[in-house]
Amino acid sequence: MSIKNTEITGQIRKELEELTASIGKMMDVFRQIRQPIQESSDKVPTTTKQLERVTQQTEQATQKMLDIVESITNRESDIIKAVGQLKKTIQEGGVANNSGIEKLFSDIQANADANLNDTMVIMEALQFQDITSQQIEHAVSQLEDIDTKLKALLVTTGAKKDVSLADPVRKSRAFDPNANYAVDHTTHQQDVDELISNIRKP
Amino acid sequence: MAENIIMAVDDSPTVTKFVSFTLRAGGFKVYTACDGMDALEKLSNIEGSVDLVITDLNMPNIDGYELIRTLKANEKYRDTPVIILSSEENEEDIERGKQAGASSYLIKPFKPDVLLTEVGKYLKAKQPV
Repeated sequence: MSIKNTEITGQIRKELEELTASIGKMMDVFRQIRQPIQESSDKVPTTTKQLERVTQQTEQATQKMLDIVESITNRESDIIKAVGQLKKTIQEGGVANNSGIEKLFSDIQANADANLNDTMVIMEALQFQDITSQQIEHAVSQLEDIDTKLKALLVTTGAKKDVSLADPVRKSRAFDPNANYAVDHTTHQQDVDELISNIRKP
Repeated sequence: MAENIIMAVDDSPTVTKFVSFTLRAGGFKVYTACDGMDALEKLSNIEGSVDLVITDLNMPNIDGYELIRTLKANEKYRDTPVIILSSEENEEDIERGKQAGASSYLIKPFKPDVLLTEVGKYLKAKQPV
């Protein structure tokens, strides 16, 4: 009876030792995966915010351009109307001493000038594409980093023997992670000018 | 009188297009390059010389800082003014740009009149288009 008890105790001890070793190995794995999980987890909110910013800034720039296009369209209608009135006046031979004609010419000129300025504002607003593409590039690089870490975890935990890393063919652009479209840069530019004038030349 | 020639360097086609449009409208001849390496290759193939360089900072292959340093080390382009056009707006980048040899620093997104004013400090447009 006591021999059997000793055998059982020995077996239990062996099992407990194996279990302890197993737990020890698992602890090592947990220690190894804690940092990449933490880093990946930290990157997700930043990436989410960055992509939200892209959506907001794209929408803001698009709205601005749509408003300008609407103004241009309205002025174009006025120009077409004014040209029609001019044509009619000329056909009816009422050009001489017609004070209305001068006003029509002035209106056409003013509308054409305003449209020219507005097309420049549209081009200016289109710079959002450069800014948001830098934000997207940053978000993509963060996601690729998370992808790499998670794949490495699969190998560490033994879930996979080998994993392929991110697509090496993807052409990435150099980016500024803090690129921002939705701010008024006028004040910043003045600060930059002041700063650069205070820096000694090399 | 020959037109003043400007080289605009940026890896964003949107930016190079807008810069070119603005400068051509301001009466300048413009060459574009997609990064520092492309700019150096094009500069070495241009007959005569370029009067001013406008460059981004974050670019693949050769970035803006290296491009400026390379130009400043070259006898032909040592005195050519360089304007940085970047979305980076922290003091460290501005100082680095200046130390590399840039004359001015403009922040993106930029307004066309601001760019033309800055260019006008170094060059005179020959004939506005």
